[in-house]
Formats: sequence, C-alpha cells, structure tokens
Amino acid sequence: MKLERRDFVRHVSIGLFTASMFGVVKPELSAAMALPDDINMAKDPDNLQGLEVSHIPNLKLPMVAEDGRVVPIEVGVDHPMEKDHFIKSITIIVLDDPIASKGQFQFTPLSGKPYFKFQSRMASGTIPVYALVECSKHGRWVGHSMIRIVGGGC
Amino acid sequence: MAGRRKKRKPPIIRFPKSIKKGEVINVRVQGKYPSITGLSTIGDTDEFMRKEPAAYLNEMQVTFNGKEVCTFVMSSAVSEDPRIEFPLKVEQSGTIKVRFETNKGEVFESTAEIKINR
Repeated sequence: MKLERRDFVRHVSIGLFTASMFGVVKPELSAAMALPDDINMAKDPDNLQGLEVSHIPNLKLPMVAEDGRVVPIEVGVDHPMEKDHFIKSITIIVLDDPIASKGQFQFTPLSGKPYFKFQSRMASGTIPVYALVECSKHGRWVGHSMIRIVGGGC
Repeated sequence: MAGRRKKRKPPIIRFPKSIKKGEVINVRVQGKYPSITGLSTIGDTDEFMRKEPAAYLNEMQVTFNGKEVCTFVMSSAVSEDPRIEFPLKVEQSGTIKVRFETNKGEVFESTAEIKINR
C-alpha cells in the first residue's frame, strides 16, 4: 500500500492529538511531527533516486504479527557514519496507536552503522509503521511499512 | 498482571567472540523489566484510558571506554524484557557499559570487556 504525503500529514494530525491526550509524546518528537513539510519522502519507494538511496530507511517488519505485545522491528539506513556526516537518530512511530512513539534511537559515529532492532507493543489492526530518520547534513527522511497486528498489545 | 511483581535485573550483554580492529559488530542486550502501559480499553470500544501508572524501561545508554555510543529513548510501548540489538565500531579493546533507566528512576547497569583478537 503506497502512502502519499497527504496521508502522512493527515495521520500526523490525528496521531499527534491522540498521543498528546495520553501524555506520551515527548517534546522533541512532537516538534518533529508538527512540522511534516521538512520531512522528505521517497517519490517512488520502489525506485529510490539520489539522496533517497542513502536516507530512506529500510524498515523490516513481519507482514502479520499474532501477538501485539512483542512486535519485532528492525531498521537500518545505507548511510556512512563519519565524524561530520552521520545519521543522528531513527524514530519509530505508529500514528494510529494510543502510544504513537515506539522509541527513538540516537547514534554517534562510534555506532559504525545506523541500525537497530527491538520489540514493541502495538494495538490491533492493519497499520503503517513509520521510521523517521535524521541526518546531520541532509535533514529528515521518512519511510514506512505496513503490518497487520492480530492480537493487540497496548 | 499489573499486581504481580515481575523480575527486574541488570541487562545481559552479548557480542561476537572474534573481533578485528575496525570491525562494526552487532551488540545484543537482553533487558529484564516489565512493560506496563497502564492503558485499558473502554468497554468494547477501540478507545483507551489510563487505568494505572505505567512501568517500563525509559532509556538505554551505551558507552564504550567512557565515550557515548548510542542512546535508545523508549516509551511504554517497549516490550517486556526487550532484546535490543545495535552496532558498535570497535577500533580498540575496551569496556562497554549498558545503562537502563526506568520511568520510575530505577537504574540497571552492566559492563563487559570487548577484546580485539584477530
């Protein structure tokens, strides 16, 4: 399922309101979500071009997760980690969840590569999971992957 | 589930035994802490309400020889006893430290020695 920028903007508005009601949005993340215009998306996710190649995240999720309490999430970016040019952070967001922010991984050049893996709780449903990437030089980029959660875990 | 005291322990750190200088290795950390969102659905709806205080791992900080490697800022959405995997570029032998802090201010730490051996 291909998501257009307008879908992402709509999801941001709904998700930010929902997340703020439960007080689970950290200020730095809510600032990112309140400014979608400076977030870059791939024009064609199946045919990455130029800076998209080294900035759009590769988000690996199962197509279906039976247990929403332990959804495996793996994400990486094909980007160098040099002293003055590196991926600063990757944030996992599920805007349709009561807990929208699943976590933010902050890197340093000592990390060697921008990658991490963990398990998260998600509510039931078929939903897009977003990975928001911040580059020290080229700003913010977002990618997504769809997942179906059978048994909700929130 | 919220009333039963779950085990809370320092993290377990795992990494490859054979490491060469400059190699980027994957470090695996096993946390041991509950994950209580404190949320409950309202009746048969899809809406949630806060029923009890949340309890979860809030942050993981990793250093190597005293230098910051990475930080994982979590939320109550992190799973119970999470297994977290992240990279580390090893330019020299040294000590890795993994520090977990919970939303209640509890701290759990572990260290391990990483040696370049090939």
